[in-house]
Amino acid sequence: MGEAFTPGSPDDFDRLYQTAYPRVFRTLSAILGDPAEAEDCAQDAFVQGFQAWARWRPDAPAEAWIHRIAVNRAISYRRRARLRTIGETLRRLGRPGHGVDPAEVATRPDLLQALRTLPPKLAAAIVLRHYHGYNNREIAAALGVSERTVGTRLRQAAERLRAMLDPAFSLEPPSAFSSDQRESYAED
Amino acid sequence: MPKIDDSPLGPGFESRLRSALDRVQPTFSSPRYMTPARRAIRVWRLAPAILAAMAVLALSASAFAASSGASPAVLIHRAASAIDSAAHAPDTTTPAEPSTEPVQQEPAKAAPAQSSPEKEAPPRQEPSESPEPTSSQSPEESGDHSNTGSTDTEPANSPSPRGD
Repeated sequence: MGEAFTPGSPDDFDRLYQTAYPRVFRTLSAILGDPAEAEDCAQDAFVQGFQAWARWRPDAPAEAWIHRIAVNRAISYRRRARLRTIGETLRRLGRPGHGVDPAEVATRPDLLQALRTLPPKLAAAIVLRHYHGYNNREIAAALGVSERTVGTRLRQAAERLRAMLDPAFSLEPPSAFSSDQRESYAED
Repeated sequence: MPKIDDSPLGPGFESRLRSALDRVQPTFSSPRYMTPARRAIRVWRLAPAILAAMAVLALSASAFAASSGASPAVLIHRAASAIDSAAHAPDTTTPAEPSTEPVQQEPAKAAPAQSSPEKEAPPRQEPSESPEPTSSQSPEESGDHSNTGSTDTEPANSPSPRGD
């Protein structure tokens, strides 16, 4: 994340694409649960990033910046996809919250399926932290929230994952996160 | 990429997450952010062909309008000419009347010939000819023949009613 990029330089954006695209793609795969949708969102995110590349400021890492665009697009994509399906809409009216039934995940405890049941912002925090190795500050820059909100999201994501996955699967207590647990995270 | 500040979750979770996400291989298709520029280049390359097609369409439309008159201007002109022809319809039908007029004029010409030849002359000529012979026999000329004239006109020679 510490690579030097020049805002507005097409060559530097090509370099950013080569290094960040696989990581962004995997983040979106964890959020969306489908490689085709992840690729579509990732490409759209790089298109949007390329249009705004001249306005990028080096105070935030370029990969975190493009991650922020990609996560926002994944959130919009999941929201639209959820509203497109009538069954999912009815399910949402009857049981607001998750688009995928947690009981279905419990019968087939797959980690990516479990991540898909999480709200996109929580899933993104988990992937950025435990797969890409971002710290709270970098996650905050990538998601456009404060570090305290990042800690709250990580804690709530861990609680939901622990409820869905194998109880023997080790997740440390929420107190391990440094952020204030009393803060409520902003979820749509 | 800096190291993680702390590791709140166990290593089992991270390894499981890593193995799950590493199985997902990104498909390195052509970057979509390069597509709009290429599309713009293609559009500019097609611009002469598009302009030529538009010129051909304009020429064909103008030629069709000039030849067949399907354009609104030609239709309006035709409508105006039709209205003008309808408005002057009585003037145009007069040439058909001479075929009927001679039939009506023949008895009109024959009738004066049978009645009297005096009616053939215009009526203005009759007063001009008739007063001339009567003007010599006017009462103004009769004054000159007063001595030889009649006796009943002047009461001077008549006896007075007094009986002197």
